[in-house]
Order: sequence, then C-alpha cells, then structure tokens
Amino acid sequence: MSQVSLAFGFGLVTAAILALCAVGFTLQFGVSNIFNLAYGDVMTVSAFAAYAVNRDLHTSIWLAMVGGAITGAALSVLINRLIYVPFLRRGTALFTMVMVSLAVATIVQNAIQAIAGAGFRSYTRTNESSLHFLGMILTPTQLIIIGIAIVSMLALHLLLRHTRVGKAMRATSADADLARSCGISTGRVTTIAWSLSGALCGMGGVALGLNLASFDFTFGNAFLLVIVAAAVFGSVGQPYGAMVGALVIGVVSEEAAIVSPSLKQVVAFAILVLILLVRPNGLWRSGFVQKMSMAAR
Amino acid sequence: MIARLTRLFLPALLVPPVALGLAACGGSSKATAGTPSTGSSSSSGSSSGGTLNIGVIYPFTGANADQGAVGMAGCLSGIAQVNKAGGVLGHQLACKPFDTKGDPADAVPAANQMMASASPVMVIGASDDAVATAPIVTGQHVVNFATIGDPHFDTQTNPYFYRLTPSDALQGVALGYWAAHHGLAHAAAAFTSDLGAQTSVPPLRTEYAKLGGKFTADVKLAPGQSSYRTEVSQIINSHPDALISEMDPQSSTTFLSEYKQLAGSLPQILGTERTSNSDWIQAVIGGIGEPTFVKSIKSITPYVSFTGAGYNLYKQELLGLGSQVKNPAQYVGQPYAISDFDAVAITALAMTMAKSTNPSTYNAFVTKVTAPGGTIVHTYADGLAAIKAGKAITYVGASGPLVFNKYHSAGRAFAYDVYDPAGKSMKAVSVIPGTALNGG
Repeated sequence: MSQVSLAFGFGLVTAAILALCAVGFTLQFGVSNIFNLAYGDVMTVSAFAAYAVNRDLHTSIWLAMVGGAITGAALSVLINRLIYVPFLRRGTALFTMVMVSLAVATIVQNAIQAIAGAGFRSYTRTNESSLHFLGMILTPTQLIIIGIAIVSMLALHLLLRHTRVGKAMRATSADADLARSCGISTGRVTTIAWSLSGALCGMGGVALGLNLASFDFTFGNAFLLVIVAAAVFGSVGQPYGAMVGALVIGVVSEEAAIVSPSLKQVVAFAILVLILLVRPNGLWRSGFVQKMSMAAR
Repeated sequence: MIARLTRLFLPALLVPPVALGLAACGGSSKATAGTPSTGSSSSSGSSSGGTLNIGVIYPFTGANADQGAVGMAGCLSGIAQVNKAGGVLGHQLACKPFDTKGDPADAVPAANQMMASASPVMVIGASDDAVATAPIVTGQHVVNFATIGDPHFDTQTNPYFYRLTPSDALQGVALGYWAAHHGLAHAAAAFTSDLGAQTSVPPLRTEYAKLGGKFTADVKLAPGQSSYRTEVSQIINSHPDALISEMDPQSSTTFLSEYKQLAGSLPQILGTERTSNSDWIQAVIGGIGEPTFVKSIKSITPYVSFTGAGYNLYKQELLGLGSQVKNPAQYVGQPYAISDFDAVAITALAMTMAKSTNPSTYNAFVTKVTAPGGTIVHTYADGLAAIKAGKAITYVGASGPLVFNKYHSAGRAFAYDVYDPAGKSMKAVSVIPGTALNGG
C-alpha cells in the first residue's frame, strides 16, 4: 500500500471537515461582508453542545451532530443580529468589524471556559475496524464525515443555484443595495445565510472534535487559521472556491507529511501564497480583496 | 490566530487607558519587593503583620493551562503549612496568580504586571515561559523558583534563579537509558516541535544510541494538527517495539487514537513528565480508552517517593484546601506541585534564618537551608523550631532532598511510572538513580 494513496485518503478526511467549516465561513463574508473571527469559537460551542447531547442524553454522535448544527445556527444568527448588525447599521468600517469579531471571539472563548471548564471532552464512540480500499484506510466514521460534507456541499449548490432563497443570497452577496431595491428582503436573506453557515460551522466543529478524539475550549479557534486559508485560497465570499481550497489544503498537507511532518503546513501555505501571487483575489475570482479596496474607499 | 491578532492590536487599544492611569497615579512610587502588601511596611521583614505575596506565574489559560493549576496547588498547600505554623517572621503568605498564556509574548507583560502590582517576595514559575519571565523577576532581585527544563539553564549563573526540576537534557537521558536497559532496542521517537518537547530529543538520541538502541523512526511533529495519520502510518510501517514521545494533550490524543485506529493497538508509549499531568491523562483516556491507557502508557518523571513526613504534610495540606483548588486530589502525585510546595517552605525557612523577608538578604540562605550536613527537617514547623534552637538545618521536604548545585539546579532521580486507575494518576514503580545518568 503506497504512502501517497494512504495520505490521499487521510487528506480527504481533513478536506471534508475543512470544507464544512470554510464554506460556512465564506458564506458569512459573502452575504454580510464580515470577516468573522468568532467563527472558530462558535465551532467550539457547537462541539460542547453536541457533547452534552451525546454524553448526557446518551444519543448517537450523529444525532448529537444535529444538535451541534442547531446550536451553531442559533448562536451565529444571535451574534449577527445582536452584535454585528447594529455595528453595520452605523456604517462601521470592515477593519473595525474584524476587531469587533475578535472581541466576540474572546468573550465566547472565555465564556466556554467559565461554564465548561478547561478540561478535555471526548464523544462516545464505538470501536470500529478500518476499511481498506483503493490504497486508502478509512473508518466508517470518517466515511460518514466525508459523506456529510459531500451531501452538504451538493445541497448548498442546489440551494444557491436552483431556489429563490439561493438566488436572493447570491444577489445580496453581489450587491446588497441593488438587491434591496429589487424587492429582496436582505435582512431575512442574511438571517437565512447566517443560520445555514452556522449549521455548517456547527457540523464542522463536531466533525473536528470527532477527528481530534478529544477537544477543549480552545480547539475551534486553533483551527481557524486553516479555515481562513482555505477560504482565502478559493476567494473569500465564494462557497465553491472554499470547497476547492479545502480539498487542496487538506490533501496537499497530508501528502507533504510523507516527506517531512514539519512541511505539512509549510507546503499548504506556500501554495496559498503562490496562488495569491498569480491571482491576488484567490482562485475563484474577485472577492475579499475587492471588498477590502471598496471598504477602504 | 486570535491570540496573534490580540497581540497585534491590543497594545494600541490599551495605550490610552494605561497612559491615563499612569497620569492619574502621578508621582506615586513603585512598591519594593519584600514590602508587605498590608500592615506596617518594612522591607527588612522584621516587623509583624501584613501579608507577603508569592507570585505564581504560569499559563492559566490556553493549551498549557494545567501548569497554572499545578503551580497554584503547590503554592497554596505550601503557604498553608507556613501560615498554620504562625507565618514567617510574623507575616502571613498569599499566592497571587499571573497568566503567561503559554506564550513568551504574553508572559513578559504578565511578569511586569506581577512585579508592579503584587510586589512579590518570591516567585514560583514559570515553566517553558521562564525564558521570558525570569530576567524580569531576577532583574528586580526577587528569588525565582522555576520548573523550566530548558538545558540553557543548566549552567545559568543568575544568583536569584533556582530550578526545582531536572533539566530536559537529563529527562532525555533518562528516557534513552530506561528504554535501552529494558529491551526496547528498536523504538520510534515522536516529539512535537515546541521547545519544551524538543529539548529532550538530542540527549535522548545520544544516550539511546550509546546504549545500542536504534530509532526505527524519528519524527518532529507540528503541534495542534487536525490529523497525524500520514505520520502515524509511517511510524507503524517502521515496526517499532515502543514509542518514545512528548506532546501536548491535544496532539497526543489525536496522534495516539489514530495510531490505535490504524495499527489496531498501541505499542508501549514511553512519555515524559507531561504524561503525568492530569489534563494529559484525561484527554488521552478520552481518545484511546482507559484499558488501552493502562496497558500502553508509561512515563519517566522526576522521582518523588510519596512517603515520609514532608510528603504526608503536603498531601494533608493539599486535600485541606477545599474549594481553593478544583479537585485537589488530582495533584497528590504531581511532582511539580510538590516541588512548588517545597519552594515555599525553603523560602520561608531562608527568610527565618536570614531574619528578613527581603529577597536580597534571604537569598544567600536558600542554599544553606537545603545543604546537606545540618539537622534534617521535613516540615517548615520543624525547621522553624530547629533554627530557633540555633541549629543548622537540611530541609528534606515532600519531594525528597533538593540539593542545589552551583548553577542552582536541584539534582533528582527519575522514576518509571505506570497508570494507577484507582488513583487516576501515574504511579512510580521503579527508580532510575541520578547516578546512573550521565548528567546526574
């Protein structure tokens, strides 16, 4: 069994988790123009909520993941409505919003520590044997995570392309003022987008918690850098770009580990820098950089 | 990432309020180390009353938050024995925590804040962050007991700095020595790239090779990754008879659970003192299950006998702390908490012998109260009585003899530990004498 195919399989698992997280992150930016640094901490809250469902209510991890998704959706909508929207109504600049989200991240993380403590948690898992196929070794749990990511991405694609809500989201993302003047309720669309992205964030948090085997109050935040990298790679605000970004970073980092574990992130981020040199707005198209320049004006 | 951004922008946000605060303080003078925080002020410490502060500087938040909890458990149990014996020169002691967040960039302002706000008479900590905090503490001529293993401190000459635990270099030697002497001639090494883990690696390689061992794989891992499966599969393919390792709790859990998943079982895992920390144990048991943990996880840690009057008093004071420490029983066998407990007693005895709470004065007596040749005392109360009787003393506390060499490092033996499910902690089952190790 070659190390390359093994690493490719492992990379797919990482990419699946990363895709759930990065697509949610980029969706929030696309619709609301907020670079939400509290995203990782919402993942953590969702993972803790799922832990409570899994361990205290003695349910399966997949039902607990639904609980995590609901928590992520509810918390994201609340944070957006109660904190971000009032700032945006006052015309707060993009950079200031980054600082606001940083403050929210700090508050949420400390709140988790205060409530749940600094200890580690692990979901209840059953012993499962690994499946060997196509030169890869994966567990049923990992295959389900990959399946959840694929189904979520397909569902999001269908929503964005073939439903009125999805089209309204794309219109709001492209130009919120124009969308409003066309009769689209951008407030309602934004709330739907934040609940969807929050649900993805919650699922991503639970999947990451499962993959890590144990997690504490800092784990979502620690993963944020890679999520942002995948989103930037594929152009922030572009869900399809984030999917590609997640796949590239997930697989490349595992393949690089064959040469040397210390190259794991180096190679992934080197590719990110190279892509940004050639395409400054990311792989997909103009997104983050364009919005930054507009905000600066 | 959040921490990085906070460091970038927080100073700018804090400048105006800090500047205003300083302006409001006007010409108020800075407190002097050794000055009691309440009551009559006397840097000589000869007067009664007032509380003397002990700064406890460790990570209290972040991935290494457990170090802070360990430090406070040691300090609080240490001051409990001193305060119950009437305090030191009429002063009660108090422990004041300061958070380095496990990052030198945060450790420096934390140390500055500690020195400015608490005016400590001694400081416990830090661990890996001591590189950043020790110069600030000792620069103000305050005695600093640290638990840093960094070999750079092996030959340090700062008169105010003391190291309670063995060098990581010695830890590495002990790991290699034990593995090679117990039939593990083809082990793999997996250490994370952080300084605390990496300092053990070169002496481990040297000692292991010298004794005939050969690593089947030797990998340096980036900590905090979402997966180590590729690295794990490479190690499994090298067919090691054991894995020698040091990683933080999160990385260890991910790594070992993936190892178990891919190989079906774990080989013997030989860890360092980090393996004996309660947060490490809790996290890894969650990932691999208690039966696998009991079977596979072993550690080489600084030896504490867990017997004798000194240790019994530590245990009694620790368990009597009640709500001051969350689940104090978890620190009953924690070698670093025990060392910090001893540091408080040593300092109090040095102050008593020097008849001063001023660090510049009592510092010269720190090595005297632990030096061999005096009347052996195991507790602060016994030491106090002996000093009052005009005797020279040798404090042999909860962690056993703490004889500081000329570089102020305490010599220690090491122990081979296995997990005790009843006590939910690692327990020593055999001792590697310091004399058996090159550095000992």
